[in-house]
Amino acid sequence: MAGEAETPKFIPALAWYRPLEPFAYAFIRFCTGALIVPHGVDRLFYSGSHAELGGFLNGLGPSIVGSFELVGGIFLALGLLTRPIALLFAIEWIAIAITGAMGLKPGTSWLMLGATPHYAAFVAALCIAFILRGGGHYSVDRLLGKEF
Amino acid sequence: MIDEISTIDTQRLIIPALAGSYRALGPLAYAAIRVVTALMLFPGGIDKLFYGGAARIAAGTITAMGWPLPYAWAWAVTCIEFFGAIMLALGLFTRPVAFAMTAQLMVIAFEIMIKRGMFWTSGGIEVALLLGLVTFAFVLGGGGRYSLDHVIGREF
Repeated sequence: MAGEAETPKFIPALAWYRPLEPFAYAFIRFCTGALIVPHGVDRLFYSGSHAELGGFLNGLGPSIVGSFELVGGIFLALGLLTRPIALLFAIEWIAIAITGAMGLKPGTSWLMLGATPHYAAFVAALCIAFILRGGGHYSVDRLLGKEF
Repeated sequence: MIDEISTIDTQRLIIPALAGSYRALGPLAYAAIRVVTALMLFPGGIDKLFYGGAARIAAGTITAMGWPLPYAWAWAVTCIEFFGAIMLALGLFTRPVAFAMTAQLMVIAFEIMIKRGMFWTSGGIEVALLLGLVTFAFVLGGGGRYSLDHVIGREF
């Protein structure tokens, strides 16, 4: 199916990653979904913090957001209904990023790694990329033969 | 990278009218993630290079970790986050650069951020962990079709 030849390597003997090369995009999708799941578990079962959600998402109720993060995170990791799930996650994480940016302590920049909306903006950007590409070659969407 | 070069099949789409925009934008997604990841690290590099951040982390977190030669590590981190981020955004020597970033971010995640908990709200491990996993994906996948590596025609 892939019509393009592989780029030649500088040091072919060192290219241990060659068999794993096609999985890169699926790996990014899996990790993003898998790291959203703990947020849902925390909100649902450990009454975790929901201050960062802001007015818009807290209006829906933290348990609804938590359920969506738990189920949607698993779906995104597996690549099931990738585009609609990624769209909803993009909206959620943009709302979290805006809430975080407005509540930022003076003297801290959101651009720096740490307890800043940096992370929320990154997740939102990844989800927008998943909307563009969808589940990709290694996803449940592909197995089902139908996708949005 | 298979997800850049494989075509969007209209037969599979529930809303076939979207196929045109997917065809135009879908192949860019992998390169877009690469550029965004570089942009996430770049401000840290600017801070360390031009605003005294390198000396600050050498005296602060790296000394606290108990590693020898803290200033050497601080400047390694500075180079990775400044010059490495520029190279990752352009897709130049993507795999070695991404590998250095993965190593750095995993050390940040498991030596520093893990003590602050799991979630980003407290500056926890997931911040560096997700960035590190995404850079590891670029170790596997390389620069892809829209990168200087591809223009050069050879890659690591």
